[in-house]
Amino acid sequence: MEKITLILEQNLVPLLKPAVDSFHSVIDQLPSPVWRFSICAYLVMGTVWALFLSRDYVLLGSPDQARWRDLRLWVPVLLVPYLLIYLFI
Amino acid sequence: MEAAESILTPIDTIIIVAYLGAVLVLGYLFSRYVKSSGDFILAGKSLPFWAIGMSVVVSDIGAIDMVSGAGAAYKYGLAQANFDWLGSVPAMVIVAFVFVPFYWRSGVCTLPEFLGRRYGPAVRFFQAVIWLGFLLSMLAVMLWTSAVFLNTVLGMPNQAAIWLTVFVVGIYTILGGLAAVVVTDAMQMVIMFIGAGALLGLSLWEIGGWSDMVQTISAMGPQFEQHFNLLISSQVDTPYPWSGMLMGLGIVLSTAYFSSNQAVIQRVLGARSEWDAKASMLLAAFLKLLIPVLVLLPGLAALALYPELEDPDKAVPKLVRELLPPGLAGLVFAAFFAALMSSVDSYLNSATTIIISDGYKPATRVLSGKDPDDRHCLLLTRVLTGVLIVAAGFLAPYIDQFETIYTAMQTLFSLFQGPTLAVLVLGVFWRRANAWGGFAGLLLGVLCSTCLSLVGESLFGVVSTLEEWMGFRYEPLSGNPFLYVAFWAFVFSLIVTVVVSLLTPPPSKNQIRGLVFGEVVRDEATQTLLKERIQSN
Repeated sequence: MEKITLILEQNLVPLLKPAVDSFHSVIDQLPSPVWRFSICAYLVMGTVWALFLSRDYVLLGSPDQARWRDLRLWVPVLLVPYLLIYLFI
Repeated sequence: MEAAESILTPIDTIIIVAYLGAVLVLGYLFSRYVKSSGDFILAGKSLPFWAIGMSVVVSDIGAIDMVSGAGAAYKYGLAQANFDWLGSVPAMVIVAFVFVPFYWRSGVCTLPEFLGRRYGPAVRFFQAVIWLGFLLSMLAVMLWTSAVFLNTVLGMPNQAAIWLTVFVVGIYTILGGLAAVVVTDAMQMVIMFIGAGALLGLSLWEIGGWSDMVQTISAMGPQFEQHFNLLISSQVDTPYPWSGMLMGLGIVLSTAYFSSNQAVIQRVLGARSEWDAKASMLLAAFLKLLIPVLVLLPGLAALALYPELEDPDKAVPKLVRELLPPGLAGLVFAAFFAALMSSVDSYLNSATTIIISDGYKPATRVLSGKDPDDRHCLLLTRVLTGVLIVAAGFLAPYIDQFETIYTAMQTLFSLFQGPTLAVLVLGVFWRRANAWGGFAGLLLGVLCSTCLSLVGESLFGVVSTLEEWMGFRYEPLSGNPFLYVAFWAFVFSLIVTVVVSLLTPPPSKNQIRGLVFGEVVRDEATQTLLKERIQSN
């Protein structure tokens, strides 16, 4: 196993290292507000698309059409506390 | 190992015995509803969303997490909370609205089953073996960890602790199947939240409140200045840099975990309706908000109270021994048992389902040319559940001597996460993905994550668990590249699957009928076909 690692160290690392390092050097330079913004943007983008789903798709299988059963309404209720956490902690 | 003197008073013992008795009674009550293997494995598709949501959360947080999660918070601080916060949203929203309806309508029972139908038996076998290995080793590890905890805090002999857990979990899981597992999980979540909340409240009371805790820890020195930061710079020596958290955990690992974990899939497929299945994931994501508060903050409180602990994993046992009054100790131990049993029952039920669905049923079809008899399947499922938990009980004491087995399984499992997600996403959303592409993507993806993990220190500047496990690097872990490895292996697998699929013939319409998202969710003819297939099963 040591030989395999040595081969990888000699051949794979020099190949990938410049790309990985340049990627990480960009990341490392970012100021902390950008980290927060990136995480919050990911949270928002990863969830708000659900608001645009059709009502029929979201309510399929629901025993009734009560307002609270519309799962699209659950998404902002779920998202807000997570956003607050990543904005302020 | 030295056994400690028990801190339990008679009232504590009564609380624990009453709790364990209630769990057994629930298992017995649910046994009367189990008439077929479908009732056992999928609870007869009768579960409400709130029970599944609670069960998903509590299965995810086991006794190990209560001890080692608090230990990690003691050592690394609040950044550990990302695993529950960034690890839940948006992954659980995506799973709720994309993967849950897909699994629900396509009528599959396990992830290996879906990947097998989509990409062929080789991928199914590959996935089933790795999941089974992971689930079984985790069962033994959980039993051993709980034995160590009970021995340290109560003085209970290891063997007695292991077999007590085997007996209680085995009985209610064998009798009631998934329904008993989910309903006891829901009860266990309530107990766990009350017990962990009591421990947190008492710890903060002892310190003098939140601000005193922050002040005490911040005054301990520069090495603790990141302890209350959720996001940590990539330049700081930490296993949890913010970029790794976002790319590795947020985008890949959490989505892979919730979309491919058998314990999660099985629960949502046991829902009484597709709406309940979707709602359960959103409820679980909401409940996960509380987990870091209840599980990690006691670790920080222990740091403020007992900063000299050599082993951070002793943080919770120390709080339990020092702070809990009679009565509350029983409640917290019930919470610990709850966390332990809810994870053990989930892994047990999932392992049995994979063996039956991906091993026994296909093998019987190949050998005899027909489906196995359902009553035979139910009997076999129950026997297998008993055999697996007893085997895990026998294996548990050896985990101490072969700790590397656990490390190896965890590491090997983490190597599969990125490639599995890549193959799953393309299989679900891209008609052109074919068997060759899927197999190559999975195989080369795992190879890629293995190579990246082996050269983790040179490439990412952190020592890999895999290198440590292989035994040729003994420096203490300054970090773990698994977050970066998962992300880049995911990207690599996506590329390989796309390229190989495009270079080989596309799958026929018949091969992918009912297995691609657009068809399963929108095409009425396919939906009718799937409904008939599910009813005939």
